[in-house]
Amino acid sequence: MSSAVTVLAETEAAVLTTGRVRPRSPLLAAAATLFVLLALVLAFPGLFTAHSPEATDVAAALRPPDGRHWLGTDQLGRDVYARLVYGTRLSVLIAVGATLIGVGGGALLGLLSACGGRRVDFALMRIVEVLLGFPELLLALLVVALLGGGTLNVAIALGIAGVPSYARLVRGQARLVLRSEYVEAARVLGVRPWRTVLRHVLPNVGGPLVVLASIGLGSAIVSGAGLSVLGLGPVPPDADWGAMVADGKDFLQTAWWISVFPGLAVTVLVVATTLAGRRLQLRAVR
Amino acid sequence: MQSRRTFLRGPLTATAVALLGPAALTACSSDSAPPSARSAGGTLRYGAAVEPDSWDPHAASTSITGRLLRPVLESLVSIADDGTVRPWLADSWKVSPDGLTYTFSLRSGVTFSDGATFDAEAVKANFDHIVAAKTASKRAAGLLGPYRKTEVVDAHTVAVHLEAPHSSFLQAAGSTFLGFHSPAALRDHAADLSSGGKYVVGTGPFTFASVTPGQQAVFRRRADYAWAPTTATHKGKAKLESVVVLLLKEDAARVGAITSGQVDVAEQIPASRVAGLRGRDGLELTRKAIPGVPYTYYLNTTRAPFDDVRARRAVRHAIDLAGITKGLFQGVYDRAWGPLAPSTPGHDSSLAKAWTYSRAKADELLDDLGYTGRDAAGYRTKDGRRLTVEQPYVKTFVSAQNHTFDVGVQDALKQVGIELKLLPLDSASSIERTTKGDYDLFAFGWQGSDPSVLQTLYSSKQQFADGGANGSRVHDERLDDWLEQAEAATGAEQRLELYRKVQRRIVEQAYSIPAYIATMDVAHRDRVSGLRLDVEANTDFYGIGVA
Repeated sequence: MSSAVTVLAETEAAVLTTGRVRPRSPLLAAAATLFVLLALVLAFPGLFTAHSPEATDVAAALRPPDGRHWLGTDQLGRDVYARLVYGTRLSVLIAVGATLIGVGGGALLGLLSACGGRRVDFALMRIVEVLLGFPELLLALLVVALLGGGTLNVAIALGIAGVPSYARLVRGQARLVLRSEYVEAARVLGVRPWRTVLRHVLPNVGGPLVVLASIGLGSAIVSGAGLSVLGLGPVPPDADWGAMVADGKDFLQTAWWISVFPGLAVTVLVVATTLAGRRLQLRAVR
Repeated sequence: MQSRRTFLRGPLTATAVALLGPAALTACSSDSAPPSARSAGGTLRYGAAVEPDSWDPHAASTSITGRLLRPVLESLVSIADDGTVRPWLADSWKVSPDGLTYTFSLRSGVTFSDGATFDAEAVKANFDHIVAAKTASKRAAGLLGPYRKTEVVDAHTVAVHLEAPHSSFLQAAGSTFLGFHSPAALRDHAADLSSGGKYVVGTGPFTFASVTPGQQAVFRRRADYAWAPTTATHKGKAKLESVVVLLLKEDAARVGAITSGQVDVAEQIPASRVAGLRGRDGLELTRKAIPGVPYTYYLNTTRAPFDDVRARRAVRHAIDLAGITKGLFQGVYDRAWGPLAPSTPGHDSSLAKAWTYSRAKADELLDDLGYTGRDAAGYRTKDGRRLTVEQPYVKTFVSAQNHTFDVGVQDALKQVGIELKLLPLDSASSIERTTKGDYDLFAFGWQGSDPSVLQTLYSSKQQFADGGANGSRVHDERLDDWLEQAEAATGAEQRLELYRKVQRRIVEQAYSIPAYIATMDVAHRDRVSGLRLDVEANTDFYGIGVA
């Protein structure tokens, strides 16, 4: 498993270092197909399975994968495939929500820091540096400890944990843009400062921000699943992929399918998101 | 370019961890067992499932404190497998006719491992320590009950005076939680007892050599021990030279340690692993039903809908307890039928099959109550309002298997149109809610070897706000009368008969729904001999030998 991932990572790294990316690379095509499929699953989960993700059937508990239950059943007899399909929504929602909060908060802090004068900049950046000193997941755990668990709180926690790195990026980019000649020109023409920020600075900061966010999405998926594995995520009967991994952890030797399939789902989605993010980055560099 | 690679690797490694789960993380931790734990000979390596909240049984609430300190701290009496009370540090005893005074004649020649003599003053010092406000006892003080004072009659005679009759006192006196510290330890090191180690000094066959929090505790044999109770399998010093207790909280780590031979005994083998370990070479399993109260759902009788007996019976009919138990525990545990586990003295076996699993009956009762409408999600409604019940729980106190059971119950109730909301809370908010009665269901189990626990769970004077555990918030005069009579009863059979009446009333009124009967499954390597689980399903270290 891990070797396959390494190969994949290294192929990608090799592609990046040589700088020769064929537009129709099979990996990217696969990733694109996956995103289309994902969008369909998100919008119409009922199309993909006839089973309910919550219905228990204790008489059919712990069945291995077969024709009726494609990915087997868990200890309450729930269909693992149906849970995987319906769990997609929460997993993706948490990651996207967290990334949006991180990007929004980061953009706000970064712009404030870049445009707010030396003192504001100094104060904000020291705070950001302290926060950057904590690993993201640890910071998220701290926020969850304060807010309590649950889907929304996990998204907020991961979002807040992501704010510092986005803030740093936005501040750096914004300072570059502020020194540029067109901003200088706008100032000379008497354009109001807030208008300059909105019309000139923000759009020019946006590119790199989107790239970083698309890559950050991947780690948000993993962190979200990680928090759910720890039991801090959605409350039953809701379940995301992380909660499914946790459900099966006592059954790894007897009913591996409960944990392994959602774990694989997380892996595939993260790899695909990361590939797409790298592609965006490459395009931005050119 | 390096940074790009490491960037990519970060989330991927994290994914591997997410995939394998906490099991992978903790499995590694068993490799870090300290070298002292690996030496063989007369040493037993024991894998424990829980870390004690305190190493002073007088203060502790965790059952494991009593389990691990049994070889160090001894009690006045010993409880045999059949529940009868036998002499130990007390040769004999007398109960006054009014049930208010227990006079114990103490065994002579018993010494603490610090050299002090065990006498009436030691008993007084210990019982006074248990009830002292500073001790903040979470369990022992409850066992002492309506304690008034201890009177030293002479060096070897002691009289315990109670405020009110407390018929379970003799049974309780056999518990490690009412065991005896050396008076010198209580006097000079009272503040150190909770952290364990050399300051915990008793009269037992082992001494407490050392403790490393979160890792291990070491106990060593005492050479001059000669006062084993008649319930023990041999006399004189213990067979083992030392016991090393390793704390292996994660189930997967503990099971891994016993299968690989890193420990000789592992306690609390989870139900999902019992079948896999059975018949494995070099391993044996010992099991004993855990006496006390099964994992039970308490229905709040002070607010709608469960203030109506029909609603309580409806949910009881709606849950396929046998099916969920079989699915979750693969036939290793049995479903429960009554408020007490079958291995508890006084358990009423006539309650088996007291009700049936029938969705039709549940539907009928709920229709009868007026919940006849249905909303878009399929839940029942009455006057336009959805039939929703709430069950708060504290994540750290609810085991994974009990939580999964809750989810099974949640779906069972959904089938009859009831929405069960599971509310994860922190400990403080949970206490606040339960004290105020702001919940519909609350679930927990209770380990103990005496039916008097029913008093704590169902007496109207034992509400959460009173420090009791009346989860159903029952105010039932009949129950109160019987429970009081049982406390004052002098005849053993008369007392148990009263508790049987209590159980029948609880089931008849459907105050609570008992879920399943857990067992203590202990695995041991074949070099271990004489492993026995005592009346509370705790390992008896004194009788164990290793080859």
